[in-house]
Amino acid sequence: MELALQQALINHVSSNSAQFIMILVFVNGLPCHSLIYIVVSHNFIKPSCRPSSSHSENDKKTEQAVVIRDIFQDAEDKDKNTYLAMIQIFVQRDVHRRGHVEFIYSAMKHMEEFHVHKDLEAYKSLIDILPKGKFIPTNIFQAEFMHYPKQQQCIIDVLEMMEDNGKLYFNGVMPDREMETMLLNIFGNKGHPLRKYWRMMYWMPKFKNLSPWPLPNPVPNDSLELAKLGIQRITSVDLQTTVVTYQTADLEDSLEDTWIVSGQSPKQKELLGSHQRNMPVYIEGPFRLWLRNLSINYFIMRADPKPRPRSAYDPDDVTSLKIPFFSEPKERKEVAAVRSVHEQDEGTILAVCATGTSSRDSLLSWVRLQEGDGNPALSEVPVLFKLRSPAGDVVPENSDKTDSTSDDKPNS
Amino acid sequence: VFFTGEVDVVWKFGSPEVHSKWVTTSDSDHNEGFSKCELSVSPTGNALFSGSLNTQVPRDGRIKKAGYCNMRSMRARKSFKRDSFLDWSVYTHLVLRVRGDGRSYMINLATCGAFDILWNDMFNYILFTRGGPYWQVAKVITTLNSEVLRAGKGDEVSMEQRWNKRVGETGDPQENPPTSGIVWHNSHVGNVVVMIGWIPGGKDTKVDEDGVGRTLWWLRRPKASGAGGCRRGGDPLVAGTISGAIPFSKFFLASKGRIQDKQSPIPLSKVTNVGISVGDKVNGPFNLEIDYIGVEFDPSHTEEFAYEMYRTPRYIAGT
Repeated sequence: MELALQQALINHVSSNSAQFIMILVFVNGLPCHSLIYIVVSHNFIKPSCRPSSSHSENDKKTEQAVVIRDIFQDAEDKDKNTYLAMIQIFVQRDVHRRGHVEFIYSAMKHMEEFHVHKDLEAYKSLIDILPKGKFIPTNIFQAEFMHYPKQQQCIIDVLEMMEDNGKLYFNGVMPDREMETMLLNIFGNKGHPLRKYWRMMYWMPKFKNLSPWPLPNPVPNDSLELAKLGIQRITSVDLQTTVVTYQTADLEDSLEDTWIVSGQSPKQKELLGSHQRNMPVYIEGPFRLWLRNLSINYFIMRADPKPRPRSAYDPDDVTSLKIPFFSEPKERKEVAAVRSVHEQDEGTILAVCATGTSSRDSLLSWVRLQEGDGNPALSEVPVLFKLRSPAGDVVPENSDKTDSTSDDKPNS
Repeated sequence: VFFTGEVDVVWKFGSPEVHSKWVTTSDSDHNEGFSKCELSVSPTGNALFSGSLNTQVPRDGRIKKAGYCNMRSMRARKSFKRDSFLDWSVYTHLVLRVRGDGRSYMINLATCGAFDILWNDMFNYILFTRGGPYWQVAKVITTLNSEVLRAGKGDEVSMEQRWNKRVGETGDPQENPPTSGIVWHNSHVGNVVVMIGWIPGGKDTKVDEDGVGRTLWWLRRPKASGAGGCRRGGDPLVAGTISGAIPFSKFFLASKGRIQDKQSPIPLSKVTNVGISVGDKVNGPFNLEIDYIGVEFDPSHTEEFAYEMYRTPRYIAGT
């Protein structure tokens, strides 16, 4: 009996709607129990934006992903002013600011498109949306149980985004005292966003200037400037290095017209000068150097390593043991020149450079320019080019992959 | 007896036995991303931790950020596979000789505790790499080098002096150039140079917005004096190379990636694993060549802990 009743109900109820139906069952004229049926359409909400007339088509054909359209996506020119204007529109549109949490989340999602993800003012205006004073707890229980948890979690996520757009090396968006007063007025002293703010203000300044090789933030986009920064960084080992920028056009027989940033110290010039004329000098590269989020390719001029001076004295030799008390005091006469920082076990680095095109021709021009600039030995020493295939551009993998396995080979 | 300048090498990379004690993991191993990494032997006989970092987030709805790779040593063991600790209580510095690619890496010293909340305790610090073909954080040389930096006449050398003018400190740039000192940041390798007889030229002072001041002194080499003596007058003397060792007092406590509120110095007798990770959100390949990792005792290092230990409000910190 019940099954038949259910069937009748389902057929009666229209799809795409939920209805409450109350059924009173009478037994022997007296109501014994009532059944409350909440009939929900067994179709539920169709994942489609099309009107219901083409429902059946969509069932059989492809399932479309839900596309939620929000005002941030519809904006034409995506820059900071538009972003702040949109936040203002939301604030002024409704006194009660309904849906502010969802609005903040959607604004956060689009921050990068509008290029405001590193902008403190944008984050502050997001936090400003929340009303001041209403969310401050007034008794112990409210304070203990995270008063207005959804709003608190939302602002914690905003602060987390601020911190992340700056962790480890990106020197993120550092909040300031104005933000502290805002958070204090919104959530009060006991609120979690303020706690997170305090943590950020404790740790972020400690990590901000730690790097021994400071770089500007953001790093210049121009490859020449980047190369200068990079070569200065690499050659900061030796204080006396001079970093020089050449133009290949200064040479008559160069095929290309590009810049070359080269670093060499007087010690390296001397090493090259005393290099044996029949031993080759290798130009190796390109190697990659990262400067914050951008990389440059650099090349090195390297000679074969000089072996470390080792004394002939073998302490394990027991053929002639000398007792220090009875024997003559030994005069240690073994002196050797201390190796400079350029002479390493793998080779002697003679110069470092970065060129605009990273091509063989530009490297040849580099060698010629170095020769003219105080390294006459280069005209006599054989120069061998040991270049790998150039390191390709850093290309992000396809962003519309749906499966979790990656097929791309790593960039070499 | 532990001497200053002696590095006790814990792992000297290059041989398969040492490499078998290290494990590499990345987010792709946990289906949380697409980065790849491996620990191989470089052509020069050192360890090469290389791979590529990918910050693309896999679309499974629960992961928000991606992109990390790390290498970790296996836990120290006693006989019969009993878990043990690396006892470094005598030492004050961690020394790594590395050749990086300019990226910054994170050094993790895990001190896995006995109880479950302490299992993920890790002390971290950042390893900045210079990049380039030069090894960094080289071994310490304690003997006085009479390495004379030969420079032509009239050459200029610049020395940078940093001073702090943060709130509460009264730091001022000096009137005269420093005659000796560490010319580069003193937490990594630098040369102690003694400038004898150099003529100060110009100077340029800059203060950036955090209050860190920088004075750049230009020093010119005087005319060659020609007087006797084993050293030509006016040449700087490299008095020694500071080991770019990282003091243990600088490591901060984090658990599962979150820096903890209640900090304390690392318990050196309870170190379980050492690791190096990359997670700097920069898409692209990375290379870190490591020669050795060792520990050193430096008696002149008296700092116990680098972070303030003042008392924090009771129910605010640590909740």
